[in-house]
Amino acid sequence: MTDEFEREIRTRLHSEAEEVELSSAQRQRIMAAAAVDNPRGKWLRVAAPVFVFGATATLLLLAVVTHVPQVGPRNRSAVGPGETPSALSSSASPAPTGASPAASPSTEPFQCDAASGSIPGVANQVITVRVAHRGSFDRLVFEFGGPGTPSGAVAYSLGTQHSTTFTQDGSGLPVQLGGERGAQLTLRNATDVAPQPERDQKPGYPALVEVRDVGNFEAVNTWAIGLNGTGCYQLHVLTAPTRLVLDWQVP
Amino acid sequence: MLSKLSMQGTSTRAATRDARFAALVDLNGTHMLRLAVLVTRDRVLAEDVCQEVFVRAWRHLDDLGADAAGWLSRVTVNEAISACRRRNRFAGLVQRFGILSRSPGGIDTDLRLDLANALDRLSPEHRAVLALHYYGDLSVEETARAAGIPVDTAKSRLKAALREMRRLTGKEAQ
Repeated sequence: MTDEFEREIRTRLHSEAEEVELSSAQRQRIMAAAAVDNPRGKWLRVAAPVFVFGATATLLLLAVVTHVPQVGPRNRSAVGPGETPSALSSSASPAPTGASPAASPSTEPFQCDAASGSIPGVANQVITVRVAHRGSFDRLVFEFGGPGTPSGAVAYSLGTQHSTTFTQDGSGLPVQLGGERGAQLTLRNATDVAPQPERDQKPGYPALVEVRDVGNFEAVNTWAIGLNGTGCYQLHVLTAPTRLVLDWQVP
Repeated sequence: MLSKLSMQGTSTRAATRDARFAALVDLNGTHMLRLAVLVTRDRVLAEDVCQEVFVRAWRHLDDLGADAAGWLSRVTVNEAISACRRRNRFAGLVQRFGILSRSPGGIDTDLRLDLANALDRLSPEHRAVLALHYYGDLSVEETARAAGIPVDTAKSRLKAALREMRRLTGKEAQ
């Protein structure tokens, strides 16, 4: 029951998120805000108030000197009309307000060879395939679920290849994916369910370029993955709900 | 001649910096905006948050290493929580002076809220961990890192957020 409720929350959050896209107008606003904050303009931002303050102070002092003749020479020399109050220079370097950049999210090494294994006690439908860019890696998530009781283990095997040409199951036709190299994930005792997951996603991330369903027959579900960079990855099996997670190393 | 070369170098560096920043916005902008919307539940506020975070990113662009996306997520979540607090403080003031009449009290047990309304009623801190864990597909440890909180705090917040969601949706007895 907990699994089901958490899945409902996950689905809800994803569906809400997918309605949101960064519009070109918003992008322009961000670029404009950054341009205003340009370090090349920092001198102007710092110097302008200093200049205004200094000029005002100078004018005031001139006025005092001009209209109060009894002020002695010692006092006049203490703050002369051409001097700038030195205390102002200490305010010229504001401290950064943002948090410092964090370390890499995972310290585990990336592996580059083929991998295989099994996920026991899992419902055997691939109900969602998600992608996300995470800085030092691009994440590809296969989520398992579906009605009924788990029907045994799902066996997975991941192979890497130098080309991005794959073979479509059934037709035998070549399938060309984006990227410089490829990987193929085969899930046995598993099937994917229409209309989800999306059968061809082209996120165009630094490492993960494309992921495409190239076979779904007799409980053998095959996914082709187009990649840039090393083609090395970390593989995780997460629970609640069960997910097979592939983190592709960003070049 | 020397100053001309120096100026050319400066403008090249500036152009490279601009291009790096544009790539950062293109690669992470939608994800950050989505994260901010999920925490704030307010598109306009989320856009403000997103813009503020990117301006900070612009200032720190030279310090952002390989984990720029992690830094952006963490700052976005924290800025979104702060924005919610500011909004709530303002709403509290408005309510105090009697302009709004809605009671912030507990939910009627007969009223079964759907998930969206239940999410609206969560605290921004709870929404943040739910968004990172369930929308971001992050493990508990990664959620803690992304939110800038200890792992134990992330665990307890997740647990509390789920408990509150069950209570609000009337699923606590199941």
